[in-house]
Amino acid sequence: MDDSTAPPSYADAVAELDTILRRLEQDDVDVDRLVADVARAAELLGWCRDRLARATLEIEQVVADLEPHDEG
Amino acid sequence: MDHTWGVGELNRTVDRILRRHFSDEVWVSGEIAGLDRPASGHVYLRLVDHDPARAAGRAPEAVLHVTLFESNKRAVNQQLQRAGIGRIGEGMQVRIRGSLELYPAQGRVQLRMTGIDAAYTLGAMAAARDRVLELLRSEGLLTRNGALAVPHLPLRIGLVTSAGSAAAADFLHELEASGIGFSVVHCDTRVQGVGAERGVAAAIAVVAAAAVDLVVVVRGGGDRLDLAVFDSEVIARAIATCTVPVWSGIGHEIDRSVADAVAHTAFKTPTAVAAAIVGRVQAVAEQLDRAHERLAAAARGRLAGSAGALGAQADRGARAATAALRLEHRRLDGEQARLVRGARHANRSSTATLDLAASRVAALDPQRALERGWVVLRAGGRVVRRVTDVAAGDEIEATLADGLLTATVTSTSPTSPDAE
Repeated sequence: MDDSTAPPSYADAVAELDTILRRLEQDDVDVDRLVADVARAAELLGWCRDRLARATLEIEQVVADLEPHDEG
Repeated sequence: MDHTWGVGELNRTVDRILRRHFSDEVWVSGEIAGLDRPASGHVYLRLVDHDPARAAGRAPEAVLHVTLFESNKRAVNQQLQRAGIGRIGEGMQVRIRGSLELYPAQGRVQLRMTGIDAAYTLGAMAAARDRVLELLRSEGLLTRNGALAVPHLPLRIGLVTSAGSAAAADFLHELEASGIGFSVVHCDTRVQGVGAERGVAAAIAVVAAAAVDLVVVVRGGGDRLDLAVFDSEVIARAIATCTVPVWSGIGHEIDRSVADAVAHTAFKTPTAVAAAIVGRVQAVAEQLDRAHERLAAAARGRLAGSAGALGAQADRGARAATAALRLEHRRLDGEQARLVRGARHANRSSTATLDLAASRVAALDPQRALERGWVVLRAGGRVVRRVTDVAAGDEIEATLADGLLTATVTSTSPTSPDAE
């Protein structure tokens, strides 16, 4: 995903994903949009997973830094 | 004619009468108002009636000269030493024994002393002490100095004692050995002998005026006569009215002097006074050390508690973060599943719509109609829809499900009048 299509934030990505899914769940599906919607949804999902993985790593590092130091 | 006496004759006669009348030794009590100890070893003293009301400097009404020859001195001294008095001195109240005689060379009656009642002197001293104590008590002075508050840290000390004496040395050494920075204001004064009480009283006033925390009056050991000055009213008043607490350490005696009774606190020896001062300062220092330790321990405890709390908060934060991440992962999994379902549903929906359209299209397919037996007639290339479109004899073309038929119209029969 390039910068132009990247969502501004994780919350925005989740919101957009939800909107697409609601559309897909309707009965009157716009067939022309169907492929584009599914592709976009998959793209957003991948982006969110990336963000989550990075956040997990950073938090684990912060938590490790919070461990009490032994005083000499 | 009256007999004319010669001086020596008269003296000798009076002496004989005196000896005859006072054939035995007599006991005489009085106050020593003069004392002389020449190199000969004899002791000469003047005895007067003890009269506290007699104004200073005023001559007594009666005087008795007393001689204590060296031959009798040892016995008298033994009696004094057994009583702890030491030796007789100026102002002492005594009861002495001796024989009366007229000393012709000086023409005066004198007592040749042979013994002394030491208990009388002790009693007189005790009585004098009690008198002074009672007087001070009646004026409320007995406890006045004792009511003063002693500073927690008495670091500036006013010392009243004889400079260079063992008492001064003992006291100062004890202070120096403590290593504490005491400041000592020393007023030198005699602590025994005639007039010593005025010097001590004045010295107390001098050091009290030097802004000291404590006044210390000390003197070393001695006999009762030496220490008797500290039973005086003058010193007692000086101590009682002193604006600074007075601690005393007088002699090594068990009996307390009047000065000890009036002082804020009395100690047995000069060293004991110094030790008490050092102990007081050290106690405060220890209190400060303990308070410091408690403060440090409390601070460390609070820090540990805070660190523990922080640690707990950190754990909470880590757990919450981990849980949030896990939740988010599950949510994304859910969204993914939704996407898959949604995509499939959309696919199925679209397919179903298409299928429906296809079946409608199929339903509308003319071939289907032909299969069911319908025929499409054409005449002259145009579809024949009405009977009137053809006449008998016209050539028509029939399209059937499996091919074409050519036929000729033999006749027509419209079914409704509209056809005419």
